[in-house]
Amino acid sequence: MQKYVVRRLLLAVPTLIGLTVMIFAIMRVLPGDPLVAYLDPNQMVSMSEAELDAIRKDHGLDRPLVVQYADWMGDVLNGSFGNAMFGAKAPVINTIKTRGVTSAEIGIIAVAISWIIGLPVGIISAVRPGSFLDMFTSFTTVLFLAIPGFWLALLILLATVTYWGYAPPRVGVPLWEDPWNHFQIVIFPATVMGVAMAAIIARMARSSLFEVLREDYVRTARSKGIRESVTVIRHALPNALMPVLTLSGVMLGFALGGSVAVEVAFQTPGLGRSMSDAAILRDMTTVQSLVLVYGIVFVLANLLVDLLYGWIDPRIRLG
Amino acid sequence: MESTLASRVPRTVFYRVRSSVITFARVRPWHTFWGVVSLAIVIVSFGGPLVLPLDPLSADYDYLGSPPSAEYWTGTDLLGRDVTSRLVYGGGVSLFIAGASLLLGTIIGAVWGVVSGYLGGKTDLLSERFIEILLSLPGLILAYLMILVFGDGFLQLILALAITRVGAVERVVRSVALSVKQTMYVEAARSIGTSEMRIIWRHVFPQCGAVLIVLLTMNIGGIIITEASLSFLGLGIAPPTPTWGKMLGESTRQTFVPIWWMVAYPGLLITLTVLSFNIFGDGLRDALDPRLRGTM
Amino acid sequence: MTAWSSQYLKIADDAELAKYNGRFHEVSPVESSGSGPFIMTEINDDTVITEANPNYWNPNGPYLDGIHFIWGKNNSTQLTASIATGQIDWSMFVTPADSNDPNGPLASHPGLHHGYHTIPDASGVAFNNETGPLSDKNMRKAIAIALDADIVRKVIEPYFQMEYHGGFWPYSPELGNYSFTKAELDEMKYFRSPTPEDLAEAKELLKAAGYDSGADVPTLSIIVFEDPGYELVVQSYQAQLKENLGIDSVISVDEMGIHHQRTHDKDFDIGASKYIPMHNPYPEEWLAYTLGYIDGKPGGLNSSGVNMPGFDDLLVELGNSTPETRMEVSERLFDLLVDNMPHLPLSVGWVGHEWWSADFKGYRCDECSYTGAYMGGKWDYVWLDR
Repeated sequence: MQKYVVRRLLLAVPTLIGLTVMIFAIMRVLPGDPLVAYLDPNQMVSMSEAELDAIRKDHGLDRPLVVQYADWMGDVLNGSFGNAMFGAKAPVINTIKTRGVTSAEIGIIAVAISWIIGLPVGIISAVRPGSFLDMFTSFTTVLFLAIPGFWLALLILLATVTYWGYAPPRVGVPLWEDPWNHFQIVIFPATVMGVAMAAIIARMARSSLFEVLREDYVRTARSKGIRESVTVIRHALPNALMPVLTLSGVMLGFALGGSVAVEVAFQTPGLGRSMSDAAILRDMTTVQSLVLVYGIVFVLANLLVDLLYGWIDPRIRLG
Repeated sequence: MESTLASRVPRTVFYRVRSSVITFARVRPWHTFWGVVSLAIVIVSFGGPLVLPLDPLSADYDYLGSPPSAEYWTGTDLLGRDVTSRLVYGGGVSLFIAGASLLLGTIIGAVWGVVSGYLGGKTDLLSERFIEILLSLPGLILAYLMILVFGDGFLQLILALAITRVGAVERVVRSVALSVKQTMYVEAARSIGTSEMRIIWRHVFPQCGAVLIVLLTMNIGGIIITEASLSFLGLGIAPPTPTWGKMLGESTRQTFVPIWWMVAYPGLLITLTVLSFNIFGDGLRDALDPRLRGTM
Repeated sequence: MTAWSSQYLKIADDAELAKYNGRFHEVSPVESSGSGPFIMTEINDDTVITEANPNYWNPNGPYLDGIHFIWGKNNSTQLTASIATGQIDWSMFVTPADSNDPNGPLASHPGLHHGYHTIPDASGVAFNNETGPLSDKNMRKAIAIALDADIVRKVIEPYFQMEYHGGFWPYSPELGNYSFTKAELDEMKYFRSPTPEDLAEAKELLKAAGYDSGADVPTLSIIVFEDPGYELVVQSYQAQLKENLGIDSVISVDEMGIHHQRTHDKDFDIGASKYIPMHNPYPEEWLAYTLGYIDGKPGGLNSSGVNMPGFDDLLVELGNSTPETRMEVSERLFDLLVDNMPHLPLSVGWVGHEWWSADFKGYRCDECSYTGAYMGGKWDYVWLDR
């Protein structure tokens, strides 16, 4: 197992390096002048080439791409992720710290919600396959998979703000200073993403438990006269939960992607909104670093899932 | 003699398809129902604009942003354009973009996967690293980056969405190709000196057919949602052409208080479409290849 | 206030300026100490935090310990809810729908104060008068006649809550708040809703430009930058061009930098971005800035490099005019602009609503209005009574 973990970790390194190259290349072939982030475009068109070149030189935009890439990699490795091109021009790590906490909380609460809702639903459906309840829940889960998260967010926004006059706080403060403030900010996006994830969890829990309930050892337990509820909860569930657990890791990536639109819809101060704002302002350093953060989290989550699979099922790590 | 043979082949294909459709409908009425719904959505979206009484692009300046009424069943948008017409027309555009990008992405991914899986060796190792990089970003964010590069536009959007599909399809198809490569008949074909290209084309590809059909139907919902999210974020095709996602984006970006009829209807249609395609895809997957359950 | 909470408002001394090679736009607003009533201590993605300046020239002021600016989406429902629930003490750009609604969420909070101001910003349609079909004066005039400013106003009213002021210069110190009235505008074919006769004339102008009908005109390219309001406006241009003249057009929405590059390179026929902030009360100055040449270079906002013979000389003449001759020079300038039609002004001024809490003292009176740009109140004299 140790060897497998090391091998997988080593394989992730070239992927991440390749990712940085891809992101960097994409950000450099973007149409438009990167100076727009620094200067007023109106002012820019009336400036002479020499003036613009001087500013480019000051920001290091005239250097060879390899040097610029190395510079960015240096910033990533020393943890500052480079300075934003817009606003206070602060290191991007500040944004990642303040906004990232909010997004991480949303992700964690969403996963928690998905378990709280999805697991009981999945268990009930698996125990009574073909019943009305099973059909109803299986339809509901497919339905929630089909609802776009940002649309649900808009509907909630319409209801809370327009009809009840309630607005979540505008600015996030650190969790430990005002937990209530924080809770109000994260709860709506977390719920929206949580219900969609609950649908996936319920589906997975149902099919996984359904299969385990047909295993020989469960039949043995039943034949010994153990109560059905005990059979399900004590004997079948622990084994059925493993795939569900690993699925939560996959869904972290799902949540990451979906969170951009949901955060923009709710105007939540999270990483997704930062990225969207930075892309509109053409703040290349911020966009490339935030995308990299998304990539790192995504790769690590997938890696964790693979490792968990390998741990559960030794055939995978040998194959 | 030749001509009778040629005319018989399509007939048998027709009967085979018809009998499988009948079997599918008899065994899976629930999935068939949603298949019919998907078909209806496609027909209305593409055929609707031909019979719609109101032009989705022409504006009525006396009814700017007016609520549903007898004349405008689902209200008008801020330019006084009929929301119903735009929903139908935008549905066609959304579905076309989703379908085209899905097809393009699946074809690229399938060819890549078959070639990479069949050739193996260094080519496979290198291409797998590249695919891993493509897969190391959530789909929406990858599409977002691509749109930033390509710019707004119809073809650009299709291309950006297609790229998000390549990685996942390549993975699945490659695994099929790997298993087909080991089979006896491929060995046999190679032993009689058949060219590699011919083996790939005649023996490996057909084996991926079921997987590809399932991949197409299962992912159309996801790609519709990705397209909608991108349009909602303000990227995508230029006005005035509507898509469902763009209509949702307009409803929030162009008004202070989102107008409910501009929010509710496009979202409902996205949900209905994705729902019907997903359920139909589930049924199709179970019918074509039950082993795929759980892998997608 | 908006300007203040952005990166552009800062006061730097020579030493700091030298650090950035004299380029003021790069000075960090947090590092620069400033000499105003408040000093910026922190700026991040959500907020700008300022503290009272202990070295301010007025030993008594400011009365506030600091101001905490919070970024928010203009005119959003969230903003209304924030002021209604007391999360913030003062807010500009409150949704007009909520501000004007006697039964709205804000009206049910009797302690809140309300004020509004009209801001004479203007926007218009820029024509590419050097290359392409619109280099013909007749084409520009035909389009100017066919586009209905009234419809454009109606379309964007829900977006910006604009109020129509009309005319070229709604504000000048010598003439007072001079602007054309609606009745006066209705006399002018370029600025009224096109009548059937106007449209017939526009079609004649098309013929004069060498096109038998609108369908013969090459597809025009309309450019706009990423802005929901302007995207609405150009869609309305497109529909009107098709309906009134039968001219086809394609819209492209570009990122800000690309958009400006395209206007600069004349890679467009119609641009919908002529945004003219009239914070400068002297018309000759902002006209030079937006349509003329300054020191041989296009003015800062004249990104498409419009060049009209005699225009700059007339601007100089306007600047040197006496109050008696000023009207006469203005009229000649007006005639020159109408004859050349370098861009169609769809001049509008918009109304902004402000709301503030009952504790918020020393600000303007309740239900006051004013005209102009951000001449709202002095924050030195504002205090919180709680």
